[in-house]
Amino acid sequence: MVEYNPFDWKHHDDPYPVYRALREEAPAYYNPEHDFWALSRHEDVIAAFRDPETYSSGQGVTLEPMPDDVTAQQLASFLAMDPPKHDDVRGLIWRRFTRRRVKELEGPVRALATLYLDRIAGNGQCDFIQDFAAKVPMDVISEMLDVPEADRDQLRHWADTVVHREDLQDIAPPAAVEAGMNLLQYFGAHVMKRKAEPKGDLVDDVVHAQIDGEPLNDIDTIAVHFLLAIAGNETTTKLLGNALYWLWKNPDQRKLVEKDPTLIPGWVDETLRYDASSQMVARTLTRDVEVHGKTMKKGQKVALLIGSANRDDRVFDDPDRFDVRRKASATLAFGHGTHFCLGASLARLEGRICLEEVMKRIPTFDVQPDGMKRMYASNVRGLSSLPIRF
Amino acid sequence: MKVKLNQDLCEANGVCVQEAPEVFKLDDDDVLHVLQTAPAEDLRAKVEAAVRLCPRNALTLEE
Repeated sequence: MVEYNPFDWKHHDDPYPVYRALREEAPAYYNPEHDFWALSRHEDVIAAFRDPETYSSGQGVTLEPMPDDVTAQQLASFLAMDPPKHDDVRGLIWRRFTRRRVKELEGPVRALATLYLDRIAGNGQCDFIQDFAAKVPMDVISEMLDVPEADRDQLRHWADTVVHREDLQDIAPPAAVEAGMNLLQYFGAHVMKRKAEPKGDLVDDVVHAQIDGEPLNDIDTIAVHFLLAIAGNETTTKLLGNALYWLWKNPDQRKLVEKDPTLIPGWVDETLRYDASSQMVARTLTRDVEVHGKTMKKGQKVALLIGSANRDDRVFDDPDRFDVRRKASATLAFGHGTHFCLGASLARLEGRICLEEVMKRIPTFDVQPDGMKRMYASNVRGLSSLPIRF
Repeated sequence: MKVKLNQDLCEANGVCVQEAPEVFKLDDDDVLHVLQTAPAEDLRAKVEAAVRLCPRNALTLEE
């Protein structure tokens, strides 16, 4: 019998055989120990994404319960809301993330990528995550949130700590709760300061926001910052690390990209399909649902397995092959529907530009697998350390 | 079949353009245009994929 336990570190070494078994043997899987369901087939995951009335985000989108005295909305803002409030809050900042708007960031993102690569280019080696992949996304979102340079390493440390989970634990460890509180406090002070200092930026859009004539309250204002600081950072860092690793693992694909840099966007999208940073999001059922002969009960949590849907051979040919030329438009890496990732265009832009500069400046990179370290969370997948030589 | 676009939901991800370039086009300002609101029957599979995979559910199909 297949078992899916995202709280088990072992699962994250290679989740894909488990996903395959789930899709074939238990497409509506129930985990009795942690009391949740999991949907793993592409068509079931996409159907759930399309039905937010049944599959609610209101209790948060992780399987872990919230710490006492904190609501999911306080930490995850509109990620943990249902329509119509979700749409109102997401709508406040959407204009900053449109494809068109994001294109204007091409120059600044490239400047950041070259800055960090120039620092390491002469060293012959680096930790690709710590020295590069974690730096650029934090800087990009910090610029948008008006976070001063001096504070960014601290914020990134807190953000990393918030998502970290201990082996076999289905609750956030005390360090994660504390880091979350520190972030809330930091952005609380930040928001207060910025209320008095308009700059015409994204922060203004939030702190001076009105929804139906009512100002956004402080808790919601801070939550938007909290969400963006983590979401804008964690998953993009993991995307860059996963992309570099899988190209190194697949020398035939590396040759293609070396010969033709216009394949780099395909490399980004294939990484997002093949080994998505965001492997799973949870929903809570607002009514009983019958699926594959099982009854999932109102109030229970359902894990939507993005990482599995992206490997479903009902949708993707030869899904376990890493292929930068693949048409991956059915990917669910950024979710689907109402909650489709606000930062999808930005993540793709950062991915493309960072990898373009990597292929220009350190094209001979060679991964040192012995020093690789994985980060552990029930939902985010990626590396915390990726030593390379070049 | 008739294709309907909800411009308020569309976020110009361009999935439909990949699935059915005969029917959908993004202009230079990232505004989506439906080139054929009543596409021919031989495009059905492509159009259905575009509607199904639109990340924002901005497309619908009416018979």
